[in-house]
Amino acid sequence: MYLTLFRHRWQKTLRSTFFRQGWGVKILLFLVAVYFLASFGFLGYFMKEILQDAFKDAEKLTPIFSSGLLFYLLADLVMRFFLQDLNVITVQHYLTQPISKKKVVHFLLQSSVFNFFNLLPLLFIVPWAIRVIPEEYGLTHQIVWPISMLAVVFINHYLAIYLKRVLAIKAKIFWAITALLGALYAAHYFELIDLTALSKAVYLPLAQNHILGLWPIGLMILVYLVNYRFLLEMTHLDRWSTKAKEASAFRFSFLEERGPLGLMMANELKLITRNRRTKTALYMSGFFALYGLIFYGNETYADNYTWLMFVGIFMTGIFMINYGQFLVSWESAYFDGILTRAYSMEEFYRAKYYLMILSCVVMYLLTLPYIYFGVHAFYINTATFLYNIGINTAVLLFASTYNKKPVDLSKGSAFNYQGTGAAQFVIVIPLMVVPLLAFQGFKIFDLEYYGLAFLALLGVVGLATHKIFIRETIKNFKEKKYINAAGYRERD
Amino acid sequence: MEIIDIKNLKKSYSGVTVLDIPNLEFKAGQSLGLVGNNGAGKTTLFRLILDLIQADSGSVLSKGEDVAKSEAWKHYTGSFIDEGFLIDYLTPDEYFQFIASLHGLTAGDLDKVLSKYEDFFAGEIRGKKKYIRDLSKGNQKKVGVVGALLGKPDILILDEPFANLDPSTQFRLRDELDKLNKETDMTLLISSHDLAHVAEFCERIVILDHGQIVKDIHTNEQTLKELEEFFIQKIRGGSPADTATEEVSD
Repeated sequence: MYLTLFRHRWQKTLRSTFFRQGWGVKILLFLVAVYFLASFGFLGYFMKEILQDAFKDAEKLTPIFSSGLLFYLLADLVMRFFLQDLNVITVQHYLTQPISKKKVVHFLLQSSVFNFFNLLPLLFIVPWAIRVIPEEYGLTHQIVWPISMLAVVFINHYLAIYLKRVLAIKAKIFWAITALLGALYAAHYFELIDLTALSKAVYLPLAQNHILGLWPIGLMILVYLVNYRFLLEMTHLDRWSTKAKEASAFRFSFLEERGPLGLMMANELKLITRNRRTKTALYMSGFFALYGLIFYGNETYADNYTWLMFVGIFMTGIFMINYGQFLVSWESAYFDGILTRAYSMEEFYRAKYYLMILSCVVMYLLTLPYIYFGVHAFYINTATFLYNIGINTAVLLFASTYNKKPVDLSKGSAFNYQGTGAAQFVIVIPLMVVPLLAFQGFKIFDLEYYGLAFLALLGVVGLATHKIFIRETIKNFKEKKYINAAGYRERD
Repeated sequence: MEIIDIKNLKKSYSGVTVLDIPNLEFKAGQSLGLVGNNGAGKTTLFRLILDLIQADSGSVLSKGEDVAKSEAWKHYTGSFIDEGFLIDYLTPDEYFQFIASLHGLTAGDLDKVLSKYEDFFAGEIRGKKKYIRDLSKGNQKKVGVVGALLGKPDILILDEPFANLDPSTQFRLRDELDKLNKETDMTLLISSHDLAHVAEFCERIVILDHGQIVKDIHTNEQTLKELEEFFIQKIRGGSPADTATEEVSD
């Protein structure tokens, strides 16, 4: 029985929409995964040499490794807290079957360990156990240490799950823990206490002493049992149902009063602010406004205009690109409604067009302070801003007619590839590569400022002729509507 | 006069014909009930009339114009097939306001129309701070049906309007549709699994089976019985024609 449950879990993964993507997307995502695994694997494997190099007079390396461990674990805990979730609702179909609740909860907890956050630490633990531990502490430790370390990772795993659940129910406890962590870090920062020493004192014994190496296993079992008892009490579905949030009072009424076009823009803004996936995209855009700090402040990039151009397009257009590449896909859930109502397609697309421009204007204003790094930052941001609103808006609008994969608005956007098709990758070429190449053409002759002016000019021409490309977009939309509608209806 | 005229309409998915209608006409002002088992092609027919899918051959003429070529029908056709017609992150009020604006209704007009449906809403739809996605299936359906009626359409197309509604609301909707049929020139196209409801207020009933029209009845006292007979016959394997063809799902 227990094995059957695990087999279901495996089938769920294999049959998820993720694997139903086209081959092009699959291969690309596979390459990305391989890239990350390889780079972390590389880092993990050569951790010995890296630490050796940094601490030349250290007698043993494991104490240094142990000193840093606490920081990794705290960061890991925060990451897990936001990206990991466990919910009885995912197994509710078992609750009415003749399987004991205890078994279902055990299954839920045990099957949760198969995730990315538990794979990553292995890339560091295993090489260290093989390459460093034997020469520093002997062969028997080679076996015990990695097991203890794995238990340490699992403590984090179950602790994050528990904390997340406690937050949902007892907000006070969550804030208490957050305050404690914050205070701890502050104390470390002001050198009142030394967290590295603490980390070393806690984790180094795992490599030195077999008996002491057992405590993580004990603690892991304890955290597991706390979780288990907690979840067992929670198997009634009403304990999980969060109250439906009250509708936002913010209706963008100033737009609503301006006829169908205003209403469509208001709808679009409501779409962005009332759904989880679009909201994450919105927050991320604010974060990306800081992207330039890495490059404008850095000597190495100060004269690399091509690279700064890329940064400029990215910063002023991040929301537009994030949002624009799934245009209409966002509305897949009610696409049939769009097709049968007396929508004016012109206003439908103009609403999107103005909104993309608006987002670029906001991002442009946010990035104006970069002028602090020199007036060239201002020129670059202005040129890329104009190119974004003139040309890239047109590209995104037209490309939207090739979107035919539904997007579920209620899911978060981190690690979410739903709705991603070849179009999302191909679109990068006109969006980024073409302007960079055009600019490069001027740069060869040391005419950087002419290059910028040229891109700005292209943008202005695009703006002036936007009616033409909106018309072309609508034409293409009508040709593709049956295919797209059929695609959007394939919801899970 | 025929408001909708269907000619040689054919649709198949991967080689299986799901709809094949040589000829079907709907009279203006008439109410038509469409019945048939799952996979009979009811939703496919509605989707073709609404130009949501492309026919393999044939055409649907609405007021004489091909729905796949002209978009004039959108202004006088109200429809609700499924939740795919609802913008679920809006509140019902916002949704109605949006639909009204597409039809050029003022806020006053809208209020007047909506106030007629207060009973139908049972106080659970308007003025509530709830998104459509958080409403129950039944309440979502109410929003969709009233949304379809907002533009005072000449043609109203509803797919399974009685499903998911509580018994009282079902009767209320039936009375409302009956009233629309009697008091206005609206053409009603209603599909339903509830034979009694359609037999009650539809002037004409069409039975679809495996994509083909097998019965076209002008309603009278015997109709409900005739309908029940037909579907009972099917499970008993009465007519050889039924057992020969395979079930197709839409």
